[in-house]
Amino acid sequence: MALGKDSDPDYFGSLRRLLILISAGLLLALFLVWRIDNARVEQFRVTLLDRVTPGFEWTLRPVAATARMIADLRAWRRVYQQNEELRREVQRMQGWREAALQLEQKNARLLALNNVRLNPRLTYVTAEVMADAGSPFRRSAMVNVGRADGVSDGSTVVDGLGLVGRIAGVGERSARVILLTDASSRVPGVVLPSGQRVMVSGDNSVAPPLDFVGQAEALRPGDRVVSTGDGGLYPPDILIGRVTLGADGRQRLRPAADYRRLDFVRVLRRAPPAVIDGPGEIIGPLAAQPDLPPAPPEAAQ
Amino acid sequence: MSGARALSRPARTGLLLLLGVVAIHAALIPLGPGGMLVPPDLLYCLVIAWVLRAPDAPPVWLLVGLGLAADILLSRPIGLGALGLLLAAEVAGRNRASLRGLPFPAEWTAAAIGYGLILAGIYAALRLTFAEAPPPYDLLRYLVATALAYPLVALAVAWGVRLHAGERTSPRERPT
Repeated sequence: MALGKDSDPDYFGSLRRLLILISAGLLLALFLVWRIDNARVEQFRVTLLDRVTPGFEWTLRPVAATARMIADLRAWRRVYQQNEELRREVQRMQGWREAALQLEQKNARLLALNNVRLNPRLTYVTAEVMADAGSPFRRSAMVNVGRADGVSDGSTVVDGLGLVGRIAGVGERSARVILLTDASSRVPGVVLPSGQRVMVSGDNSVAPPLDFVGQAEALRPGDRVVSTGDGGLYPPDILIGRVTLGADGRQRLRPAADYRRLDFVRVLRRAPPAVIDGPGEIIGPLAAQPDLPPAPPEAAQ
Repeated sequence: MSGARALSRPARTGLLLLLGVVAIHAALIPLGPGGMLVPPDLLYCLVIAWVLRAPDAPPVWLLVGLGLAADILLSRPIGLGALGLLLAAEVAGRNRASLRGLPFPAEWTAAAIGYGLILAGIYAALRLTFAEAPPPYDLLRYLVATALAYPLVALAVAWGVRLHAGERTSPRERPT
């Protein structure tokens, strides 16, 4: 402040240039750190988001809600037609609901008859989508549940109908969902009528391609794809989407989850199934022999 | 100079900080996560429009801080966006005199080209370090969205914020 603003512009210019050089070096170093120790820096990012987003939540939600209302208002002219469509749809759904109830009862009777013991049911926590990724580098979203709600890394996220993605990065009260369409997302699935195993690998487009298809000709557009439990990350039998043919001629998947209206999602909390990774101790081969030799010396003395 | 009616330097810094936070925050609004919408980089628009209109360059720490915050909060590769923002602001600041004389479409084109160069640099850096890079098509849409947003942000900066009192004297005083 002793120096006036215009008293020595050259001095300030070179000082500024030096500062910029130092900052540029530091930022480049930061990028390299991000590349080298990605997990830790990403955890830092989630921690920061966890701190920041809840504070902004009260502004994020009303704005998003208003934007959605405006988008809905555009459809007001078709309201009568939509009403009719919905009525018909409700009628159809009621028929299906009746069928589902009957099937459920039949299923329960059969299970009881056969003494089937099923895995414990999945429990879930419902979360609200708080924030978008904000840039095209990731397809992700922030939800308002976190470690405090029993959410952990890798938890599966679904909406009412289908798979949305998985949790990658958990804060105390928020978590980041990597969507199915993100380039780092790989979901093992099975195409239902044909039983073909496929890998749904995201590529940042709205319809992720299907990889590792055994017999591509066995897949038909419209076939349902559900998750297999392979790899242990996703629970089995969750609807992922339907097969469609992309504009590039590749077989792609149209997700069942409605990404345009992602307000509420369910985060599944799952106790991992018991893994049997070796023979039992009683009926296994005689593997416990090495324990025996130390005993005799004591007995000898 | 006739700085009495314009904002003082600390006030300008504070205002840019506030607007920068708003710009980052706006990108986080969940309008359609996972959908086709790509939000524009409002922070870049704001900083460039500001640098071209303010009487002096904003402090380096402010640019680095805002850029880093945007990188971290908007799930971009950390460090590269801030570096691009800093360099673009500096280049714009050094050529302020020549750029200010140009008609607005030329300024707009320059801003868009600048952002295109930044995205190309980020893409190259991600490729060189074997990181996952988004498809170029996505980056192109990001560039288009940002270029489309630039005139609006520039209008808001030129109209809403009296940065220098030279040609236009503000009717109302703005203490903050």
